[in-house]
Amino acid sequence: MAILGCGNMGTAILDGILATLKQVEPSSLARKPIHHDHIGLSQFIACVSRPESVAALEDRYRPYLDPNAASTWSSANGRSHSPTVSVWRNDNGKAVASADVILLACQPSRVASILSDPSIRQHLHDKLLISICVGVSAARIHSLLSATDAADRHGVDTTMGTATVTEQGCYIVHAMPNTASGLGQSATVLSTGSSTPGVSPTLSLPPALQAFVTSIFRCIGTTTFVPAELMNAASVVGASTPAFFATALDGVVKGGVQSGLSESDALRLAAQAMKGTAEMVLRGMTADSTVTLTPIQIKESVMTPNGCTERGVKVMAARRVEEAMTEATSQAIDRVFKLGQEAGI
Amino acid sequence: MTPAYDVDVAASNTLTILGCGTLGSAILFGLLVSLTENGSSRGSLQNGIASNGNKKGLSNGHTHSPSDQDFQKPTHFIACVRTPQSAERLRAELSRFHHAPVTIVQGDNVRAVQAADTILLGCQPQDLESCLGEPSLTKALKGKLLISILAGVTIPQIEGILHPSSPTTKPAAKANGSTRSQAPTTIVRAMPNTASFVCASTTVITSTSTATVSALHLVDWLFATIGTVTHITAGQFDACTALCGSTPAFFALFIESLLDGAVALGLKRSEAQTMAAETMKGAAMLILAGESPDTLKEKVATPGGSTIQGLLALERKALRGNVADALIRCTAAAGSLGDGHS
Repeated sequence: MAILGCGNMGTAILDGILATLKQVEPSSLARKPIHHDHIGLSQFIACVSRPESVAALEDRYRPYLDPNAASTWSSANGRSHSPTVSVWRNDNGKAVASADVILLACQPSRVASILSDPSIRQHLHDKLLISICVGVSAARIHSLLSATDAADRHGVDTTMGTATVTEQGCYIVHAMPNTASGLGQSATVLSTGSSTPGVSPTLSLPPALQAFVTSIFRCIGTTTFVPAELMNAASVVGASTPAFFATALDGVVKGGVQSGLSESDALRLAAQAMKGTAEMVLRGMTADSTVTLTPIQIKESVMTPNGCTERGVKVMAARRVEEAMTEATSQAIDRVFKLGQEAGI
Repeated sequence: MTPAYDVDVAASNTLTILGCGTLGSAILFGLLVSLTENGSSRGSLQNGIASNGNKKGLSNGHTHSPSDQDFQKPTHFIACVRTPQSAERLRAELSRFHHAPVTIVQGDNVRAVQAADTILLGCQPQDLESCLGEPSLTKALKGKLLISILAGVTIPQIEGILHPSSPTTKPAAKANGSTRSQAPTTIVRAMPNTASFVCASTTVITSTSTATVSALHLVDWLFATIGTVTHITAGQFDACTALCGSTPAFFALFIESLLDGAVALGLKRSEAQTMAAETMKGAAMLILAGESPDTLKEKVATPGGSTIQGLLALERKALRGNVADALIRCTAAAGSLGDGHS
């Protein structure tokens, strides 16, 4: 796998994959077991442009830099050698040529220039390109790669029938992980379909490849595939809302501090209560339930008649807190659409 | 289920839940889930004990290991309810457990307490006196451990009902057969939350100097099986009742309100609900791992991006101030729940 633009998110993904390959539990507790054989990757090339980045990554992945470092690899793993990580600077073309899977993790503003680079374009045939660039849809990447003329960046791509496969025969996936990737708690949304009007947004990625992509992102959390036209909304729900929850949590903490708790105590207790609430929604009334508990049901079950919770909920209703959260979500989704238009989707 | 007290008293240890309402059921449920999973503890006692100077009874950073066990774990549970409907509801909730060691008792609190080694008090605060004030029940509580999960009701208030003429500083006698019936009841106060159901509760505990170390170990063990445990002072209890007990309702509302926005733009409600809950869980875990809310926001809100637009909308509607006020109001209400019992 070549990781083009190995920044925070690229690093988090690489960490997660390496941890899974090593079958070592990371700091997160909720990872579902993935068999390492589902991920047939053994070599990783982290591509950066700044010298400081090279030094930082080499430091981080030192145990994996030496191809002969089999001694750190336990024979119980049943494999003869450990995965290797190489850190390259300003050599994207060679990295793509060497790779089977390309993870595009650069800044969205650099996507067009990277994908118009001939040394990259000519080596994409039959490969899997996974983009985690915010706001850059699979369709946009497809049109960038399909453009025969580097200057031709707009216009509806009429070959959207098999949307994920470009003329270069490259499979494209758009993935949006979130900031909890480093803890293995990302809620990643993925899309492979076309968002061109009139074309059915079916997942045209072969099942084996879709399973492979799922395995990759399950190394850092959960995965949810959505049709391309819902990617913007799903991205906000999965990746922007941590900031909204943090804001709401801050309000809770400040209320707790006002009532006499220390900031650190209030923060820890409130975060734990928030985690428990999320667990209730995810797991419902029973630990292995297939029926989930809705937020309203949870609210009802906490609110004993004339209890204290009810007073707090009434204040939130009077101050239109729910409206604020809904508005925040809508505004953020609006902005994603606008960003996409500005990028010329 | 027949209300048979045919348990072998010598071999078993019974926890009676006096007033098995929503929270009592959640605790019972979480206990059963945890205990049926090969007896492994789902909660995190070691991680959960706050190492701050406000704890009583346990030393900072104390780790409870099995070899330290100086208490008996409950093996049988009696759940007391008032109405046949409640009994039926509870029966239905517990039906997923095969051979659950639970006896449901309706309208016979005294016998349920007589059969108990430990009692979890979960009645409504307004029913406190009628529940505990019954002389034969008060007598049956002697020498036993009473864990109260009543919001707003303090330990002195309960002691006032149970030991009306005894000073609260009398030390607890050893709980052997002969002196037990004269020894005062040990009272500990706990506030878990609704996530007990999924063994993810945030439980706060406060106790007085009359509680023995082994009693506190039992309480810690009990609540560690269903989530995290933190010891606090009595003065912090109302604030924590609101912060830990009530906020799940607030957080549930936050998820609900995000869903409306997402559904309006075409996402399926159930899918959006799952994603939002997964995201909330991830955000909570990041903060528990040491990231501050401000840092988290900074990392997510890229300049000119979509998240910052959402955050601006929250600022315009004074979300933080409103939520803080809601919690403050909630805390005040928690404090007044126990009024009238002093």
